[in-house]
Amino acid sequence: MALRWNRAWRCACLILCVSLGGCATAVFEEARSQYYAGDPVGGVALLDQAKLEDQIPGRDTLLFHLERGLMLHRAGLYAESAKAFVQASILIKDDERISLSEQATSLLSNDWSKRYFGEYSERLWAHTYAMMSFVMADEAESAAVEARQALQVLESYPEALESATFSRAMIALSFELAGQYNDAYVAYRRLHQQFPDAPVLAMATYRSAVQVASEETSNWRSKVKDDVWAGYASEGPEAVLLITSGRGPRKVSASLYHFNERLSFPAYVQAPQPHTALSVRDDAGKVLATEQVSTDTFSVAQTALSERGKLVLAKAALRGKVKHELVKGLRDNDQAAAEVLSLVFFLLEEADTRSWQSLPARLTLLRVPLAEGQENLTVSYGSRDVTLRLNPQQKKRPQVFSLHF
Amino acid sequence: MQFKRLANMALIAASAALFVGCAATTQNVSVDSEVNYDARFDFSDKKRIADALAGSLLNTVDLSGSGKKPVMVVYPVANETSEHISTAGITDDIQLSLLRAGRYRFVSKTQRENLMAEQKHQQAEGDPSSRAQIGKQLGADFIVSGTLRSIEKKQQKQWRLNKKELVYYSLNLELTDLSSGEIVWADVAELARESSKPIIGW
Repeated sequence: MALRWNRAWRCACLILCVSLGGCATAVFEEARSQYYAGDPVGGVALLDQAKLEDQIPGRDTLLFHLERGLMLHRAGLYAESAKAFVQASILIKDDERISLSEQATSLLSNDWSKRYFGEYSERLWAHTYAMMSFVMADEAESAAVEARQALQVLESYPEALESATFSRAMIALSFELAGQYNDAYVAYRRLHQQFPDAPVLAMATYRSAVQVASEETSNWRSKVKDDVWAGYASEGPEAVLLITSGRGPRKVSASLYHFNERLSFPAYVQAPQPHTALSVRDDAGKVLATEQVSTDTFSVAQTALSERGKLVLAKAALRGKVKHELVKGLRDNDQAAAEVLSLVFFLLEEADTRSWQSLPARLTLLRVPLAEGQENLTVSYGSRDVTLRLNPQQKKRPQVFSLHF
Repeated sequence: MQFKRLANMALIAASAALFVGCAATTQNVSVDSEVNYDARFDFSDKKRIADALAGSLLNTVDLSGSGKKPVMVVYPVANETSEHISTAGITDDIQLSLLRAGRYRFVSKTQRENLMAEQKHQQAEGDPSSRAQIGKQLGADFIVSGTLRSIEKKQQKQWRLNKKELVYYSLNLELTDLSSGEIVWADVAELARESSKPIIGW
């Protein structure tokens, strides 16, 4: 009897040890707290220190790069941020490989023991943030490379990512800034289909049509409203504002109970925040632009997770069956050991709630036509105002700013 | 007892074989060898493409009509692929092949800012007798420029044991007469590669 107890405890301890690796998430929580407190550099330092001390398990490496990349972007360290997102993209590409050892472990414990490959939405946003960072680092050609990778993700999961319009706008902008006008024209036309009433997008589409000498150029010119046309100075300078705001969604564990067994699966919850109006004004207080292309990260993340939902539930059901059979098998030999194992399995049944939590609640792209000699732009978000200083010499290329509220 | 000893020995042998199999190794590889771990662009592709295009330029164009060696400036090859490829390596290789052939002279675009800075420094601090003269830089007769593109095809998601990927690369290179704007030479080097990776692993 003692021997049997020993075995049961050893088995339970082994499973617990495997699962307790999830405690490494404490490092992420600490770094995120620092980030939310307005110290992104401190957040990055905590992550780097943890990596140095081997506190970040290999299965969480993607999360490490995603969180680190976003914090670096927020700190204005754009080249470093872009590098982190490129590292993340490399890991994401490995998602189709199935590891038998990971699958076996996750059947006995939970999905925390598997490598995290990111939700479909997070994969797209990794490329989106890479584009943003490359654009801000003045590496437009690299942003265009990321734009192509983002297009591949959009093509792979068209329904799940249908409303990820900010990413589409970034794709078009990246191609435009890299001077790859054929691709920019295609991207802008696609974006215009989704936002036919956004006049500045018609202008962007018209401009790329001119660059590729499209037969539809005059058609696009007719779509640009006269007041928008008049808003641009003769050389057509404009500012592009990449604005992120609020806190993104978090994953929580939801459960279904059946007697003394439970099935757990992840679900997204939205951080409570009111939708605040955004506007851009010139020096005289004239409103130049309001919201144009915007993405609600909760909505996209939820749709993307639902698309993967059937797979997640099927896996949870299979895990439940495996655990049930193991306890049943042990119960015939040792009732007490079976009860302990059942309890351990019950406690271990925890949904994988890893997610890229430093994401904002909203991603917005604004294109603002600039008048001759305009020096400043004031961006208002609720009661907060930020004044941006413009470079009057930069006329041919849009002036791009990245802001967070 | 005999069986137990044999079983133990077999276990030790299997473990040893496993560890040897997993041991890290390092070896030198010839730069001329073709080594492809996957379908992606790598050093042997860069070499093959650069050699093909430099060879084509040397064999098909004769620009020595005026008796002087034409001066060329090489612009960066635009990367229009979906990979972060340093195209500077391609242009460097092409420039090197053309320089070695001895039929062209080159001015450096990448060193332009450094040249200006050095000249400025010499004007301010240098011995007047050894100063590089301002306004004496060679003007290029031709621009070498190009674009690297790729097309990727992945197998549809379905039940399978291997993941196949097909990648096609093309590098278009052209030579433009700086005075007339005429494209006096253009060529393309292409390569296509299919790779297959097992989806299931340990």
